[in-house]
Amino acid sequence: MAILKNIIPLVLPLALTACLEDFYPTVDTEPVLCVNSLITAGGPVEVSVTRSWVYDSPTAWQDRKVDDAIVKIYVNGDLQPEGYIAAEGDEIRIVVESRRYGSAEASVTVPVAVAIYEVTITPETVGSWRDPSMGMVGDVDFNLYASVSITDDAGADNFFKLDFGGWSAEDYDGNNNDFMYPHHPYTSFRPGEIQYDAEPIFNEHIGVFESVFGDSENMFMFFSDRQFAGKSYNLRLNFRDGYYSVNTANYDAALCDCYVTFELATISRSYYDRLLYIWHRDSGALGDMGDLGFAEPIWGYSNVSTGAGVVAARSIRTYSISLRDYLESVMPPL
Amino acid sequence: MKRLYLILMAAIFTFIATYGRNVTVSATDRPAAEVFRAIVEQTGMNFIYSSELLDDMRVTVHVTDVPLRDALAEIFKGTDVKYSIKGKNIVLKRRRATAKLTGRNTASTSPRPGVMPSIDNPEMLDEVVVVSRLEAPAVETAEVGARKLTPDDINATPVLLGESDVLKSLQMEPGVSGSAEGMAGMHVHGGNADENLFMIDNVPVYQANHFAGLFSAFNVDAIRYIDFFKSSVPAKYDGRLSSYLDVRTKDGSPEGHHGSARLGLTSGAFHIGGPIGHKTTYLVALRRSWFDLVSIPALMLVNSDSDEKIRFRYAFMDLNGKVTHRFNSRARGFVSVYFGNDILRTGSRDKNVSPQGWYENDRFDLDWGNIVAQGGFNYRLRDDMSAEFTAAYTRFFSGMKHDYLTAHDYSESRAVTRTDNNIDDLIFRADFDWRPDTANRVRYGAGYTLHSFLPARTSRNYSTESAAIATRDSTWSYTASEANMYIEDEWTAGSHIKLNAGLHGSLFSISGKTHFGLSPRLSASYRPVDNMALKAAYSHTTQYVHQLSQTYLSLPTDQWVPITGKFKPQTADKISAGAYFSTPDGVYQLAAEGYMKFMRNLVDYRDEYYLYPPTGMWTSRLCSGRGTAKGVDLKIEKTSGKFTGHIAYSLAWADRTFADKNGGRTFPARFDHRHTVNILLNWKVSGKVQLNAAWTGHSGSRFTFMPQVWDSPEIDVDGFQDDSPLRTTVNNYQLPLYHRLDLSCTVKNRRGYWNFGLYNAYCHLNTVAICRDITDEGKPVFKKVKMLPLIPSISYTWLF
Repeated sequence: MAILKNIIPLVLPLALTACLEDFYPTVDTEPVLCVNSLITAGGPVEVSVTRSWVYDSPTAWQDRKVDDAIVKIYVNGDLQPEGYIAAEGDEIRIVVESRRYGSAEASVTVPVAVAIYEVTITPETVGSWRDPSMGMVGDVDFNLYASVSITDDAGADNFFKLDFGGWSAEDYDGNNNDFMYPHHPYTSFRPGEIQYDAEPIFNEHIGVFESVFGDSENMFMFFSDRQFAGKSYNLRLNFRDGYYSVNTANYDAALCDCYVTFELATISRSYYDRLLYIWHRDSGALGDMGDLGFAEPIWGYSNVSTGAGVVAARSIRTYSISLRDYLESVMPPL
Repeated sequence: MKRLYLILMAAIFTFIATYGRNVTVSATDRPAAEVFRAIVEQTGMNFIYSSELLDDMRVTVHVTDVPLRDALAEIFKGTDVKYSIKGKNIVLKRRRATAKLTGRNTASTSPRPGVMPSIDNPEMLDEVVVVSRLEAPAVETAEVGARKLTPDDINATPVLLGESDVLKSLQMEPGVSGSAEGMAGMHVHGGNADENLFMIDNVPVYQANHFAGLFSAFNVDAIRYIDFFKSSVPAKYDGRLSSYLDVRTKDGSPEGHHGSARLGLTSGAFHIGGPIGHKTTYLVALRRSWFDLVSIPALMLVNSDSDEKIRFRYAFMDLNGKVTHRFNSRARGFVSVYFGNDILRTGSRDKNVSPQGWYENDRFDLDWGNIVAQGGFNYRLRDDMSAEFTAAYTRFFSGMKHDYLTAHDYSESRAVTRTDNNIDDLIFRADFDWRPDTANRVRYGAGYTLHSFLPARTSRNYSTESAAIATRDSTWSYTASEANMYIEDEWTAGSHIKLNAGLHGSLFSISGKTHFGLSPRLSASYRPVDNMALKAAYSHTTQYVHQLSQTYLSLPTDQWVPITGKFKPQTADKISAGAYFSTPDGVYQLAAEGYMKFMRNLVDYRDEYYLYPPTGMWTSRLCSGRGTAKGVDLKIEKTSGKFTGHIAYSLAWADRTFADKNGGRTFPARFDHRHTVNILLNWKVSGKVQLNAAWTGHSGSRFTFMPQVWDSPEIDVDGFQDDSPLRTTVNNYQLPLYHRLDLSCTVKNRRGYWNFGLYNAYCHLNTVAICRDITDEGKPVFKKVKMLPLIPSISYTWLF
């Protein structure tokens, strides 16, 4: 150990250290208009207009509002009056003008929604507990294996964002402070955590470099139709550690009426690209490498002419599937 | 056919040739090396001897138009030096105490300025031997921008962590820039890092670095010399745009088993060489890092008080082995192998299942490196012609595996991702060296390379107790055939003019498409007086493979890919000119070189390339463009005496233009260092102590600095919003002046020597980037990222 004792002090200074030093650059830049808008088919168009500012400016952040902006919305080439509701297939162009900051514009086409046409779920019970003395008291641990089928429209480059949720029809809240067993029954249901790695299409944006040096956290499910353009595709969604709990003195099959809901948003290319940027910035390695000078820094993705802001659109379809039969089978009447 | 070919060659070149061995030499008390040079110029013969042999010998001789033997007899009359003429070589030996000429002592000597090749074993000189074409001083050659490095030169350059490094030594040359702080990558005359061809005994090595570029892959213990060409390129070489670096490995000593063992802060090395019988020698050199020996106990301490066990192990090693056999006085063969490998094991795992029932095991296993195996056969066909036949296999490999296991109560899932990236080359080549007369030296040859590229193949496996999913990317493997031929003539047209004209032709066939490259080379030297030369050169180079790297580091994720699809072979035209001056005693040398380089079909990542999916062809992320580089390199060098070293200055410009990058506008290259000064000083304080100092300073690197930000849209996930940087022009900002002083000291003792080093001796942390940050008070602020403080090093080398 004497050798070790001598070596460690020698080696410690070798640690390749970096330090950060405050820096106040003198830069000659002009602010530009920033235009942000997320358009949802069936909803009005809301546009946020601000301006860019020098990152370390002490006041610019507060002053980023643009007071003299004039926003014009063109749909399929025609200027729209107030009250326009976005429709699938509309080509929307947003033009913003400011006497002080110039002009900006961006276009987006509201995508035609691709629907989920079928979902099948195979539950797998991994554990359960039941109070044999009570009407309906117990819990279930389960995994869910879902197959979510979509059919891509031919002739269009489609991009998707998938979300899911779980809810129970009775919607009792176990966190209610008034809860006093057994007079106030409750249920708790969650479908579990999605296993991103089980569905390869969620990794289509992850290359060799990102898979090795990036974060394994996917954060969200977005994908394109590049690998199934014009065809059907079954997304394999594996949920781990789903949980159902019920607590009531009297058996009530309606408390097993729990749903898993899938929300498939068909999103514009700009929306998809923005998500890609966020992933690379936060979970990939490019953000950190760029900050340390080991790679070219990446700028914020924008489809606005000034390079600031994102105008995106989406069309949403949802699909819910009940787990009542399964939960009833696990939690039958005593 | 062979005869016809030789006759044809002779017909082309002999009409300009002259031949004669009579010489005229007039010198009074001049250094022997200077007199030898006069004879070399008149006869085309090489002088070969150990530099210790002459020991500042000075010569007085006055002969006019006498046979060479008579002149030599006159020169060495009354000395203990004897000479023999063997082919084109004049071999000098001491009449007594011949042991001084061989073994370890000679291996450590360096040639004097202005003398001809000095090699390890003069006894073997009657056969074909591979000697550097850059032995002669710059004023005597036709090449522009060429440099020979010896192990002594490399060891005399102080470097980070005291690990003698070929590439970092070359970074002290004018016109050569480093890739990142402390790293071994290099940019030559405005070229990209993948535009340098690294070779071991003329066989390409694709991964020339260890540890993200902190160390180069070449173990100095195994190196005999290195030829480096950055401007005029011999016709033998092609395939890269910017530079060619040929590392020639040592043969084992025939006199006995000698070697060394070294222990440094980062690695240990061992090498041994010696005879096997009378005609065979061997050399084995092994180097291995020992970071892992430090990390193991360190991690034990860290893990002892934690719920999870962190796993980290990094190591690199390289192994050189060579066996050389002399069949007879005309034939010599060798087989050699190089194996360089990096391994990285990292990850973490829970020691126990958590109270909530969770358990995780996350592992990354990375292996990458090179294998080079080759056999060579040198044969002297005639006194004026020799040949070298080579068969080689070179392989770059990179395997990365991520294994993630997660379990909760009764369930378990495991995701395994593996990516492989390989290149396999089979190479066959024949090279000929023919001296039809004293004025001409013709080198020609042909080769064939069968490339197999596997740029990336990723497989993903996901499994649970009851399900398993396996996917694999389409296998992007490519086979390419490359054939090449070259010929060059080095013509000494009288005593003042030397020309080197050559042509390298190549065919690269891939995916049913064949590219044809014709690379002419020309360099000329005019010597108005003996110690001065004016040179000019033109070279055209063609590159068929390029490296995709998303960072400035050398990582296992870097992919070598062939030119394919819409992309054309990269080409460069370079015009260079220089003036060279040497003092009469050859001690001081001055070189001033200028160049202009025009690069076409360069490949780079396009703007926002990450928006293009990796599942598609890699080419979708790339764009093609052009680049220009121009500049002037100045160098003053002192080559002998107690003080040696050089001062180098570079004035340079380098830019790029890509249709799909920076909006199609021209932008400066990241390493567009307008001014660079490199000073290297070596002071032999005594026979036992040598001090080395290296100072480098250059204009700051270019950096894409984005001062403005804008409001992120509400579509950002999870309600998390961050300011987004506003795009700007590429490399729009110049970082502050870079400068650094490195020191080292070598102290010899009876059994070996100590080496002490200080990297960044005055601890000036250089800025490598600018990032956005938040102060403790929550105020946004820019920060300079500064790296690498003073880092000491120590090593001991035991010689035996």
